Amino acid sequence: MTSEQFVQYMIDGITTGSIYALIALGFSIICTVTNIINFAQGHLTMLGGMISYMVIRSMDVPTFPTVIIAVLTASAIGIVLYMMLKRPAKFAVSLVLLAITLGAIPLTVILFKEIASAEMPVVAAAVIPILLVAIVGAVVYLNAIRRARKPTTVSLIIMTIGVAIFLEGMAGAVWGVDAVRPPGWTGKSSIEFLGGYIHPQALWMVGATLVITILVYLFFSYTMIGKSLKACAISPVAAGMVGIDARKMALIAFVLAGIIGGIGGAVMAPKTLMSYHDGFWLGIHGFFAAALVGFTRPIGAVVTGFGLGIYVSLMVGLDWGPFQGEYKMSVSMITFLLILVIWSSRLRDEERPS
Amino acid sequence: MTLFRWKYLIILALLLFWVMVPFDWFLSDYTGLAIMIGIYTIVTVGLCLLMGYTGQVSLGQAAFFGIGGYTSAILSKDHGIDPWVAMLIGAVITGLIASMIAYPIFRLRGNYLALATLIVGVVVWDFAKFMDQYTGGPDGMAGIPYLSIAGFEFDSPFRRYFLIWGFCLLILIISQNIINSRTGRALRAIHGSETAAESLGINVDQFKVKIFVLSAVYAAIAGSLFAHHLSFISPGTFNILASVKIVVMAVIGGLASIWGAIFGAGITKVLSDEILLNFGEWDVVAYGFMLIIIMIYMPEGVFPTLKSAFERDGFLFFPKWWLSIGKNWFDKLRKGYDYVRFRHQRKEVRP
Repeated sequence: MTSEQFVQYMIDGITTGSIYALIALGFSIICTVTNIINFAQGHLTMLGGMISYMVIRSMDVPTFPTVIIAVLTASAIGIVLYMMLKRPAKFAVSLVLLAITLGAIPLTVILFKEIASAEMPVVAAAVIPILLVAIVGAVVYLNAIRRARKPTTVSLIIMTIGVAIFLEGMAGAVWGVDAVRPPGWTGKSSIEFLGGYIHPQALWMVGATLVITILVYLFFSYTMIGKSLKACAISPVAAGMVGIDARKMALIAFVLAGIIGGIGGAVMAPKTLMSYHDGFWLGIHGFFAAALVGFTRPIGAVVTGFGLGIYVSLMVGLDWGPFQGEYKMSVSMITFLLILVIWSSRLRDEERPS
Repeated sequence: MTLFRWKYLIILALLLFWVMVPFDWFLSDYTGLAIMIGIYTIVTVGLCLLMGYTGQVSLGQAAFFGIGGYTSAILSKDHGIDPWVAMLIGAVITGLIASMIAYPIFRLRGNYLALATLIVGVVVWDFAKFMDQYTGGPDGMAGIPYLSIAGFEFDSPFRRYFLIWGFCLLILIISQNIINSRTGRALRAIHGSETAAESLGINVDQFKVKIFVLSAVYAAIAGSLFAHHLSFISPGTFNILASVKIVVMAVIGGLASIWGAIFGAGITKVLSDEILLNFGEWDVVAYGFMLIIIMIYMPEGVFPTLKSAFERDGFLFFPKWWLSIGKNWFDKLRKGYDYVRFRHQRKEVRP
């Protein structure tokens, strides 16, 4: 490998690593506060990218408002997830919320389109899913009288996997199975750096990750809410005794993870493309990055996220031994598995009863 | 007592119905569907043993289905080995692979175990796609020979129906016996508390590995039956979604219910092959939604919930259940049911 290639692979690794870092951050924030591993975290990121694409394409709005919309939607889904997992009795409310959030965007789009040119099929295509979800929400409301029991780890895993599959299917049905690419935020030409080329969007990705990490660090260290979140992580009972509402903190954690996921998706889509099944790969990498530091250290998860991106990129770049051809994804997956198994004694200590 | 007799009558009627399905004068159009239900019941029973009784998550069950199916298919088609022997070799190889995977993997727990099994599923699927010289690549392989006993070839769906349901029944009975034996009680103890089980002298790791291998062998047998039934197999039959579908089946049938597996596999297969087929991508949404809803409101599974309701209220349970839901809802609307109860509680707190 020449030095130019090395620089190029490092740049690629850092760029993808920044996304893994953001997802790992989301994983560990939720797990720190609530002890839940949210298997749908990667799918929240995917949704962020998809929504930003849809809004840009159909509304012809400038890029930055779309980022805000994508972030808002992803955080709304975070709230829904929280309600579902932590307060099942309020699930009906959360479903209606989901319907509203998912429905509000097409409705806005339709309003814009109606003004431009009346297109009835579009209206029908957008309204029918909303109605369906609303009806399903009503049915669930009728059933919501039957209370859910205390969830176990197995049922939480199955539930979050269900959410992931649900979001994936939704994305596939709403936005189609082809990968989408929203326009880049700034500039089109790559920047030359030490013989390698940097996509302008890559700067946004790394920059966003660094800024978010610093903000999260400041939030956890210097604000009252952040400190309360930390207290909940250490001991929910003791936190409750000094007047911290653990359920509210869990809500904040889910919203925070949703926001981070949404930003990640919106920022990465212009460079890497986004398709409906990307959430799964992103989720596995983020999970692994967060698992390496035991799910309870958000800042450590960011570091391992970057490290993971660089590792995968260099291994692919080396093109050596098993790391070549079609199997490279499998080989990196098996490496993850081996590392997890080797570290298992340490992981076991980190895992607390939920 | 009357209920007791009704139960047996219903079981007998269902059995009769099920035996009649492949006949021309009955539902012979659905023989293929019924065979698929049988095949997936076998996989689901294995997953029930692992997830419901032992409390260990597996999200890569379809991988073993694929390994068994492909081994059997390659051996019988390309090497001319008798399908029965190929099936046996497939089961043995899958068991060996599963035990090799299981020893390291079961050092992990909970969420880590879920991810590890997911990775196993992805890797096996990847290998089946890219080892095209053996597996035929993403297009799959066709022309796998049918099973036969002493010249009697299972070449029509009618014959295969009875073969596969015979297998299915055998495996259900074996599993039932395992559950009611010392092993089954040990597994349930592990589910309750690993520490407590260990202190009672149960070799926790060994039991976990054993049951994992058993469920993998079940999946391999189902995979072989699948390959020899359709005489076709492709990587699409055991991707991640297939693993999730198997989890959906286990969850609907009840994680800790052996006979519910038929119910779960039946509902899921009818949904996916007959109803959701017309809705394109939305079937994935439906699976996710079912998983969420069932886990929240019926954590024991749909089948056990309905069964216990039936045993409590008899035939009227369904209308009664819905009426009670409607009544509660109506009461809430009419007189603010929750509010009254809330005020009453406050009165008690502050006399």
